[in-house]
Amino acid sequence: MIRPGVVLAGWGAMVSVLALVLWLWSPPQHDWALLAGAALGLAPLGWIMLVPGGRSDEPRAIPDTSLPTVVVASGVAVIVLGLAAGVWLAVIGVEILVLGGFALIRELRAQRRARRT
Amino acid sequence: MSPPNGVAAVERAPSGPLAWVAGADHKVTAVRTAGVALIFFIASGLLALLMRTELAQPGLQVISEGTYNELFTMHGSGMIYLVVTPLALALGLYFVPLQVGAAEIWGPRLALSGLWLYVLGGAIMFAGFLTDQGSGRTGWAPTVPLATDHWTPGIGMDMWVLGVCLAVLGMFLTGLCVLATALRERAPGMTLLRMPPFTWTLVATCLMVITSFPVLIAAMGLLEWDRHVGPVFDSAGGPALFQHLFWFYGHPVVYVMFFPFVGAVAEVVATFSRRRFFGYSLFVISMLLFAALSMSVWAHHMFTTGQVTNQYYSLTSHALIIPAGIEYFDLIATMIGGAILLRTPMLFAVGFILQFLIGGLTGIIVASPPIDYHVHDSFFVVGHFHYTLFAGSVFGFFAAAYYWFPKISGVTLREGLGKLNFWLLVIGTNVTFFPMFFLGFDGMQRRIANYPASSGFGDLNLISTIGSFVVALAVLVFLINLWVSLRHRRPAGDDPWEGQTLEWATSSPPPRFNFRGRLPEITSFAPLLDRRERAKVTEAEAAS
Repeated sequence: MIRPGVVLAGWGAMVSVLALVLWLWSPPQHDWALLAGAALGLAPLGWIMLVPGGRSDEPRAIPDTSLPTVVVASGVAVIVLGLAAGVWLAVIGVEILVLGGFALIRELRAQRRARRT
Repeated sequence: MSPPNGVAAVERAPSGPLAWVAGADHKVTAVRTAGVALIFFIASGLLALLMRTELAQPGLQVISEGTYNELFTMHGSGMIYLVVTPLALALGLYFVPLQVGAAEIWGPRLALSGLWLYVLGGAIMFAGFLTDQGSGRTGWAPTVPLATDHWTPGIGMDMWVLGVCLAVLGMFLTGLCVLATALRERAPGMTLLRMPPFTWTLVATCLMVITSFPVLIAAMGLLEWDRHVGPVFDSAGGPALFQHLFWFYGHPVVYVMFFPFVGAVAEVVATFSRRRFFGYSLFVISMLLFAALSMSVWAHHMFTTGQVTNQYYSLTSHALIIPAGIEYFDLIATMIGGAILLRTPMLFAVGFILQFLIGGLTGIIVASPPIDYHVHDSFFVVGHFHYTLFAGSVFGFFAAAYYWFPKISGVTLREGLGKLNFWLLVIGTNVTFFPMFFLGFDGMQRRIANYPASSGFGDLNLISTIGSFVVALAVLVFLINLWVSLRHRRPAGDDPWEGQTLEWATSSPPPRFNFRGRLPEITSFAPLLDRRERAKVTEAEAAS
């Protein structure tokens, strides 16, 4: 049976081979580094996806709605827009982000409590 | 309710405005994403109609040249960042958990934040129209130094750059969730090599999403830094460096907008041919190879810069023919000997196969540096990528929409309107985009608001413009079909097409946690087909 990590590692290996061929083909240029970086970048993303969170067949608590998530995303968007519109908007964005962040922490703690009970 | 697979609900069932804004169910998030993408599709499509009107005849000047620059930028970037990519990933967000027997998506909050980052990013991009100097106007694929503050000043351009960052970040998060769901949320018995072809296409898609999308976010971040903080790309190799960073996203995204529709078409072809999908293992390997190769072809967009290794990128671009050929072979072989039912989804699937072929074959032409030098930045390229993205992806999207709409809504779309939609789209697509090959080969440049009457481009441009309005009519028929079907509902039942994969084993629409009770036994990538075949054998044994 193929394990999920093998898919990521196998695909990363394919990209690495292509990076290697490009490096051998055009040594003075550095475009191969983009490909190699993509292959290397799979490692941390693979860890995020595959390692934490326990076994998938354990009971879990899942939210039906998550307003704090929307508030956090809105805060990020306002901060980014603030980079174009002015610092004043970015500051408002930070405030929205902090507010949403606290609410999200509360939500996650409530979820953890619910899982224990 | 007691959801399966060890999942426990801790909050009330969603309802009202809160659920509309913050519903974390992957199906809700996916439908919202697709709905917003359709709104952006209409907006970007209207911009295209304005552009085609402008080009219908030389010297019309319905709009100014500056406005034309804004239109082609917002049309292209709208369609790529805000329409086809989100539609492709929304299909995965909805159906991958169902196909692998999962009760939920991995990281529902991440997926929800992905939706809102995408929505707000898109809104910011389009809000640039309201600013003094207009929206982004350097094309969907900006170049340096044109996109720097010196040559393209104004907050509208900044909003475009930052909006793209947000929208792409949103889709990155969506892709991460879909990939993790396929890899770690599968039901017992659903091994990796029992995942349906559609799910495998999403795995390949999301591998490209998680490795290439961050590079675009970095590129756009650096561009914004260059515009306002200090020079980043002003060295001798700066413009080429920016192009490398951009196209490292810009080419894989073409396949991000293609693979999920190949997967959808594979499901449709198998279901409507009443056959098991042919060559499953080879298809899976070819998808992963296709995805890896498509990461390594980006600089074929830069052949004419003289700063890339043309031979390598030409070779890898041509090598794409191998996995693409395998997929075409599998799709056609599935149909051979099947009892083909030519319902609307199947019509669109066949349309996808034939129409995309034109895009694929012209891709071989532009992958060859000597010919690319001739057609680069011409209407030939515009024709080529519209045959891949419109004639390919949009036909695939319609195949998926007609196929899965009964599952999502519980009602079927009207067959007559569906067929009208298909034929109008076939006519409109070819009348619009085929003349572009001749125009480009004869030297008509892209991104121009006018052309001299003496060029002889007028007649073909007029034909192309007429075709674009036929495409608009086809889309209008689809919207009417949606409205009529939802208003005068004809219940679809759980499995109206005799589907082969797990989403057809649950109710239409599926419940909050996707499945009630036990899942069917999973012995292959087509568990419902297995169940039907087992029932037939049992019936035959009982009869004998």
